[in-house]
Amino acid sequence: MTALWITFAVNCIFVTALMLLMPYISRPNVFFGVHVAPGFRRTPEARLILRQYRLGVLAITAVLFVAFALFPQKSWPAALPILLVVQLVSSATFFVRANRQARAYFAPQSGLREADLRGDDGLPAFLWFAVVPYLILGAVAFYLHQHWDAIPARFPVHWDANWNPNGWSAKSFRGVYGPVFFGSGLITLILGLGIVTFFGSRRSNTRRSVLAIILATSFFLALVFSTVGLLPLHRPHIWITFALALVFAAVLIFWSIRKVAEPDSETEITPDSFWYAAGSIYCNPGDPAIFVQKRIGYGYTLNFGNRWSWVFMIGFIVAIIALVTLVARTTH
Amino acid sequence: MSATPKIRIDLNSSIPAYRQIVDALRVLFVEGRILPGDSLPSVRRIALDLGVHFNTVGEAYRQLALEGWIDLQQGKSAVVRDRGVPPPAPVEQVKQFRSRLRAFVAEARSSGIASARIAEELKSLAQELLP
Repeated sequence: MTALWITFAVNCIFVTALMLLMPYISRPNVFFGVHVAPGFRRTPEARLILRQYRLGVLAITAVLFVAFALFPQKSWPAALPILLVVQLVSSATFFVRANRQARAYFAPQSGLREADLRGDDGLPAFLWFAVVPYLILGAVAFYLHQHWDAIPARFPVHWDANWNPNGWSAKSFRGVYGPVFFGSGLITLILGLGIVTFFGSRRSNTRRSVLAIILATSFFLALVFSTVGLLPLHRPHIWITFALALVFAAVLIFWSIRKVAEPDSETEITPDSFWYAAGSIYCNPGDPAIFVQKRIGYGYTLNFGNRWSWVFMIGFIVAIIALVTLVARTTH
Repeated sequence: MSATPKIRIDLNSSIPAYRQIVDALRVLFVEGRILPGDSLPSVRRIALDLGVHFNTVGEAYRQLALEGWIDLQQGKSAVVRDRGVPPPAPVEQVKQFRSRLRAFVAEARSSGIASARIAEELKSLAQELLP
């Protein structure tokens, strides 16, 4: 049960920290997803909005900790995901509230737009490094093939919150090589996402940075799925993967904060009236961009007003479901 | 193409976006910052960067093709033509330009710009845009 407590506490604190950081992972002239005048963040009005938001997020965290402690221990495994969803939804509600308050201080944007007349540019050369994650997974597959005889007939692939195995896989082609294929498929999908983002957004340095993040993510996924792929033969402690994921997420968040805080950080001009739901959902049928720069966080988000965005999103979801379905049958 | 020329438009302006694109590109052609044989980015790319509809840029490219500045071929990028020195404009066209200039000068005067300054700017621009 201690493990459940730790899992709950770590996840809950991580979400709280992330929600508290959210207002800072924006360019200086964007406040809770609203375009504001430079220096607005330092005004008493902005500080009041920020203080109310922080108090709301912290109050929710405190309430959830008390609620979790009050639940009978038997129901903790079920309560854990529910409470985390409640935390996310209620914190997001506070964010939406802050966005509505900030709209009163909206500063009109310039209508100036610029286009570079150099020809259509190609993908950056560093994308060739995308071969490496496939090579890592290929090496794991080769290692499994070489040690096929040492693989037991049945091996654990899933554990509960107390680290007791609760899912097994059989020694079959799909059972053994499934994670490696799944990892390769997932990497292909996210690299495809990066390439579509590159060509479907306005030209800026952010495109290259985002492609670099996606490349880094493909390396991370290759490491995770190599670890999972080696489960038939080795038992790396699950904490390693968990810690790796936390460190990767923390580095990404820290890097995003630094990137958006850069004084010469480019701000894409997108009209405020088309940013729905807390300045995070963009829907502008008059904008041909499929992807536009996020107002909260670093990177890109879909323009839901473009029909190709929907085609792309549905295609991506279908591909993920197909991949999961293909591998799900491997566990027994 | 020397350096990397850019075009800039103002979506809040009363001048239609396609007109602004035509004007901006024409200035670059006349200044020689985009040379004959250079390719222009695709309609899709310019539209995406400027955040305007594809048809807006398409219309601007068609207008420039009509004026003889670019060659448009299906499936290929627009290429700048060697337009040579245009023949002297007919009197009617000169009158049209005079009328437009008159309106423009009046607008500048009503904004508080002195006549001498307007004359100086026009002279300097005409010299800058000499082929």
